[in-house]
Amino acid sequence: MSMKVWLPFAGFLLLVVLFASRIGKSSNDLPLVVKENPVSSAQVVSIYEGQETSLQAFAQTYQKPFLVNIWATWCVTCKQEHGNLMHLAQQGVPIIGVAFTDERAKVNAYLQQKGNPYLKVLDDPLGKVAQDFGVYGTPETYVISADGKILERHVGLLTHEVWQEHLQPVYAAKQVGEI
Amino acid sequence: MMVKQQMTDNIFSLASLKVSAVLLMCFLFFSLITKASAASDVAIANEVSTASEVDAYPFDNAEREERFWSLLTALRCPTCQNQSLADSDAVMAKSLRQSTYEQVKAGNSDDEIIAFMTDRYGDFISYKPRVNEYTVWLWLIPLWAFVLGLYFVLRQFNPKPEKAADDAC
Repeated sequence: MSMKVWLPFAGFLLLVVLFASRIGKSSNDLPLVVKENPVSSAQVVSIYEGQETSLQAFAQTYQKPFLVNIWATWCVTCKQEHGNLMHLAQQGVPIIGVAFTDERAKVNAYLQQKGNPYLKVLDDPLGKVAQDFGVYGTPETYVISADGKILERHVGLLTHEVWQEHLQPVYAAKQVGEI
Repeated sequence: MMVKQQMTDNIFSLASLKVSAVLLMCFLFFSLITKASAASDVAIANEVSTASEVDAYPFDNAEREERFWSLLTALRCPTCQNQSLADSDAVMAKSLRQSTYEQVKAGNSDDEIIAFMTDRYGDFISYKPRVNEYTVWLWLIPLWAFVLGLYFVLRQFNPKPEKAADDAC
């Protein structure tokens, strides 16, 4: 008899736990499916070097961890995080910029005006590189390991908190030669 | 008084039968209409294709063109997640449409193209996800919930008879 009384309460508590676990989490967030995969081998033009390359080719020669920032001049949030990227670049963090479905002239003009935090800027007008990452909203910033594997992603504005708490630990771990 | 009890019982069991029948019909009907047929998908995509006012996806082969539009409606836009690739104006949707177009033209099969998408975005990107050990719950949980609900409905209308009263005639 007491079972009948407690059962609805137990069910209710279960629902409370279930719903509470989702507080603060967006249902739009997609999992990083390509985690541990090698970076994109899509051939794209490196704007300031004037030749074709791929992220994979870069990773193979660079052989150190680096960041990839997917951005565009038409993306408002990207402009907001630009200052933070400049700050990171000044600290010596290597960042490869992927200009996602953008125009080279606009990219040039913007970086000349606001400063260039990127080691290289890859032109991805058709979004091939972005597809290989599973990009679903700009800006997105990725941490790549020294052997060219995708480790972590942050979708959205890159703030100092995000860097310190989310990305830097992953980036730093790979610096010390952790497997 | 016993006869009246029996009559009431019969009426209740009839009602529960009707309820279960209605529920079952609703369930079957719902599962049928959500299984959109390919033909209607193509028709809708060609009529309403909001995203293609500038984009052209020319095909020489009518069969491939039909497959292309069918695929676009079977794939979810990763940015605007309540729209298909056919409907969405998002930048990533345009990029993925172009990629799908190139792959269909190159002769890739539907399975290969969907695998390309799910390799990068996960099972979520397909409106008809593969049945594996994770996605099988998408079907099992509603089915189980329905059966459970049915059980409680039937219990409601068919209360267990009192153990004392069991007339011989």
